[in-house]
Amino acid sequence: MNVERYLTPAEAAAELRVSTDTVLRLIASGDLPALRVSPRIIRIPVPAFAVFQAGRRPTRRAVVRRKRPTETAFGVGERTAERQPA
Amino acid sequence: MRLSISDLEDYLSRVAELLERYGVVLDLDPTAPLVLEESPGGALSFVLRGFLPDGRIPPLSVLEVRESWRRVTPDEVERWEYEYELLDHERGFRRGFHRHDSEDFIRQFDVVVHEHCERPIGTAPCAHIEGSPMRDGYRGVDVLLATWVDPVIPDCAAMTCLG
Repeated sequence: MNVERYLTPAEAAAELRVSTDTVLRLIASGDLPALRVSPRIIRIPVPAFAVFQAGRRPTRRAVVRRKRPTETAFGVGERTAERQPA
Repeated sequence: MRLSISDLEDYLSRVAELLERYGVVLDLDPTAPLVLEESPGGALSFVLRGFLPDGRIPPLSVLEVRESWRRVTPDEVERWEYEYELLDHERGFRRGFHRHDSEDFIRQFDVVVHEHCERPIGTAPCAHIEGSPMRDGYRGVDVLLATWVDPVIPDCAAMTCLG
């Protein structure tokens, strides 16, 4: 690959034209989703950054309950070929 | 992890919201509700499937979050089974984090959870890989996204094989 799939806080700060501290505050407040992959490394997935940069704030969806005729089967299709038949 | 039924509905909407905030495009209409299915035995389950936008049609990365919750009282459920899945077609690998058929896995391997790794997709050096439990769906989503952004492609052959 290819294209990086994440931004560092410094890269995100440059894109947003704010300081890295501001980005870290946005991450700490939960406004900008990010992954802490180690105590010192934070990665912001590019699609998450795109959602934030576009000003989109996904809203919580309603939940409906439905009866199903059979029990749910987990563990069926342990291999990809079984999960997604060609 | 135990919740009331209403808290489970809240949890489902929050997990879906987290996916969408990460930029995952759910395989649902933008305003469609989420579905919590109740099986004849009273278990509740859901599936969240989505794509990571990569500018390609169809998108090359697919995520799936499936959970099943069994009744512990008429009003309370506990998470009993899960499957968190990532298919990364662009880089040619699959990762899965599973808990199901716990009694069989304890009997066979002395573990409750297991993982899957295929690289290339469809080729697994090992049927079931040793793994760590995912404390909830939020953690499951984080692990899938962390795997997706990691520049290092998983080395399936280096993982501990259960059998």
